Amino acid sequence: MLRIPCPWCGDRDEVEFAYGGEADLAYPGDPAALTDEEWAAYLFFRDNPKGLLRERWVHAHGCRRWFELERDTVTHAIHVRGR
Amino acid sequence: MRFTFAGAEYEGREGETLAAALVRHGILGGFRSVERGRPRGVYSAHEEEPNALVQVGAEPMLRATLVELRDGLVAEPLAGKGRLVAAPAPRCESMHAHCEVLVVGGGASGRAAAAAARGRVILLEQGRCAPLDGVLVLDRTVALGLYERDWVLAVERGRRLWKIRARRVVLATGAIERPPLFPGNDAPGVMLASAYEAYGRPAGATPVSGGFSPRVHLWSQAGGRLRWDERIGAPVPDGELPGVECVGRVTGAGLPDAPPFALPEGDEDEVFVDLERDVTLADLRRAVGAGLRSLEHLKRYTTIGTGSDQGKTANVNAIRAAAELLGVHPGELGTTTFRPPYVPVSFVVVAGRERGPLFDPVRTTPMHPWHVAHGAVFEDVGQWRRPRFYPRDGEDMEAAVLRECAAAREHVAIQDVSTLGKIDVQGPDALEFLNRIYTNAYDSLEVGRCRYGVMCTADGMMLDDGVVMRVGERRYVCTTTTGNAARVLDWMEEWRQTEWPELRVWLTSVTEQWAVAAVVGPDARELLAPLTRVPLDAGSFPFMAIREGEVAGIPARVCRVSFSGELAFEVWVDGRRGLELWEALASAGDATPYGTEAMHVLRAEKAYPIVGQETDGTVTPHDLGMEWVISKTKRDFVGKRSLARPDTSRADRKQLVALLPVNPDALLREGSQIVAAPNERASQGHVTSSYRSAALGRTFALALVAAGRSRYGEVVYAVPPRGEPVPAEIVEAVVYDKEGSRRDGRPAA
Amino acid sequence: MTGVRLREVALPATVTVRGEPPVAANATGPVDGGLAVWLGPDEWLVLGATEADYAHADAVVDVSASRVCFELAGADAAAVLARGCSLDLDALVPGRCAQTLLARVDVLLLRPEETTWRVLVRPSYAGYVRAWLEDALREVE
Repeated sequence: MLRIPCPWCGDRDEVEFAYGGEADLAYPGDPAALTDEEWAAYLFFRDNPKGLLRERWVHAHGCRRWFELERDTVTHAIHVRGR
Repeated sequence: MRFTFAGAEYEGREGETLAAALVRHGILGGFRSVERGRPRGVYSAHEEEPNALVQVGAEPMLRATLVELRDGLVAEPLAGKGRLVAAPAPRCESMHAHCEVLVVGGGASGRAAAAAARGRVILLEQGRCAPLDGVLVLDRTVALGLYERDWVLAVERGRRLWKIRARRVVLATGAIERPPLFPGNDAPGVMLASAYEAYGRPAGATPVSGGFSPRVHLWSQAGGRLRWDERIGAPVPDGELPGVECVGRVTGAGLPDAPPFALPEGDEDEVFVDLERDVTLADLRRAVGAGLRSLEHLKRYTTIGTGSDQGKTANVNAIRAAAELLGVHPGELGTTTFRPPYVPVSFVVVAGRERGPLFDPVRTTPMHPWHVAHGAVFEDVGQWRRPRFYPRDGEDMEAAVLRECAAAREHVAIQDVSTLGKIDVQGPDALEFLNRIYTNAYDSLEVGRCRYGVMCTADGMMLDDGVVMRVGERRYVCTTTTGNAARVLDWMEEWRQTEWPELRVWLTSVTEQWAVAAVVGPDARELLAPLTRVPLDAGSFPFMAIREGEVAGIPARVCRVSFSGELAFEVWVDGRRGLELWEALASAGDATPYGTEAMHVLRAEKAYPIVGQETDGTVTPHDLGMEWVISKTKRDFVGKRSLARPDTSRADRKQLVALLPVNPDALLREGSQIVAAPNERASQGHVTSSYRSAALGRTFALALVAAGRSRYGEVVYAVPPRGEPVPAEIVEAVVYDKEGSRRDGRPAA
Repeated sequence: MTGVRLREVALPATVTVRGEPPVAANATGPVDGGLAVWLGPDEWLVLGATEADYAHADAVVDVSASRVCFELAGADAAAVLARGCSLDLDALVPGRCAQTLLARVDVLLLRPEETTWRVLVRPSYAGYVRAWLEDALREVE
């Protein structure tokens, strides 16, 4: 049972959250300008690193805010707290 | 007190374990092993017990060394396997706790660590334990696992599951004595020397010792490293773990030197390495002879360590014996992986109080007491308990649904639709937000009007549908399907917060703020007119319009939307007055209450899709024949780009059609795969919904069929899980009132 | 669970307001005759207000029918909640609030006094939550 640090509510059990996957993937400003391959990359392809991953979480059963943090996918250690 | 073991009654003492009582009464045997049926007896004094397994009432696989006597206890010996008994299970519960320091182990080092700790301190001890000032002492409590280095699960007296979050964990778990290896080391009366002392040196018992193995399980579960300690002949904790500390004998300190190890003389098939699994030195030698070299392989081949005791008295002997057989140093073999739970735990303990009526949260609408009082049969729609049908005079579901549908199409019927998700969308950018989220455009939607809308995920697949109501200049209420209410709000918030934070729009769930009743049928106006001053004629109240007023004296918002194709009014009132509204509607005339089953049939006759029934995350609006809901003028909306991918415009995509079974009485099974001919195995789609239609006087189904819209008239086969494929003709999806002429009710006289 | 009293408490007219909250994160405080309860960095509840009172705010929604309130009072009240809530309740001192899970249901926890707790929950869950709380009040052997 991981503890996830919500920037507003503090550490809570992971069941209070929903996971949002890799961070830093903004919705493309002009989707029509992307090729099918580029669009598929945005939709489906993720880095899946063994190690540090910057990712998104939402405090679904709390304040319902989205935020980002950095987690080691091997040890689950959370290194960076952020919004 | 009295207790019963294997059918015989004995006297017991307060605070005694079952094992201690048996030994005190001279019962040094009384058990049998699982594989070879060998006579066995109590071997140890704690959780590492490999032989003395008992069933107490409904609870199987308890160790007699952990069963505390109570008056009237009845225990049966188990030969290694429990029985599921249909007996009342004990009441159990969970408990959360937080502390600064959690100490596992109530021996001398543990108590010292707990006494010296600051802040909130909890001490766990599997046996009895004296109180300690300023410390929450949980005795008869076994730790099951140490997770993430700061979360411990523990079971108190087999009834209470503790979930403990600790800033610091101190492991004072001590060591387990292991037996020496010699032929007949499993015989009744042979017991570990420490147990022999604990039981007061029982007459006829033979104490033995092969050394001590520190209880490193929790340390290892948390990721701590181990190293082989030559002196005590067992693994000990090595290195550091943030927030976790080992004290006392678990570190190896204070343990006696291990006796020198050598493979014994004599029949190796009588030398037991794992007593619970009946695995001998001969089995281990055979495994090595078969070419196995690693501990994990040896474990799997011989089953050493896989019993309910998880090899607590076996694993270290297995390492030492295997090392001898392989001619390597024991430290080179490592250990097998330690996983929770440390001792077996019953599901009933994990379930706690959430059994029976409390198993899952249940949601009910304000009208629920009326539905119950009027004999509704319910179904679970997500967490909601919704009326499925209201049987009269011993009707079965089929008869009730036919009657309810007929009432809705020929007279007037009412349904409690309060469960629909409702989201308040307000702000200067509300319109822009809706245009980005839905596939259709809302620019022309006026105040006091509503519009059906569809939303897709970014991959172009349909996510949800509903009606968007414009209730103010900058204020809308969006409805969602019942099961998707939370998901759609979460979806909308995700885009609002993470992609479009510049938009000034705010979303609020109002699902429970409003209770809603649908009044449906050609005589809907006649039912409502006496209850309201809102003009209901088609001229004053057009389709998809919203009117505010009072219904049955309750302030209400009324919308003309229809999920059945009939004339229909949805009456929205404050949730606290939902029952009052419903009672007024139910007693105003002879409206027929109808449930989800009839609702499903009515909408299916009109080919209105239900998200989650006709869709499964792989279905686009085009697949459902809803090109009209995709805006051609909006620059972008979520999903638009994906609708232009080659895959989403393939001609052979599965498309929504209706199926008319050749036999008009044959009811297709939902989920049946569709094939072109009875002996074909290539699936061309599946049946999504299937019903008996009162309006048509026959059965029909909705289905997703490859290129379905270009195959009208073709007969295909629906393959049920059992039985013969059923022939059915592909027809246009809308099987009733294709022109939509029933929407405004009876023409004015 | 000796001495813990469970009862339902009627809530006043309530709105959800958007803008700059008048209270700190996860705190409550009086506002204009009502009680403000923090829900998010741009969202709060006001117990004891109507939409008209906040017509000037970024957004306001009447949610008076959207919650019911269970009150647990007594020295062991927190221990009842601890049977289904993983929060560190010692840290939820009077005047603070928390949105969390109780028995897998979304709740808003308030603590008006040291030994008085209020659990706000959607009305549809009320039957389940009431049954759960009543069960949690019964001792387990």
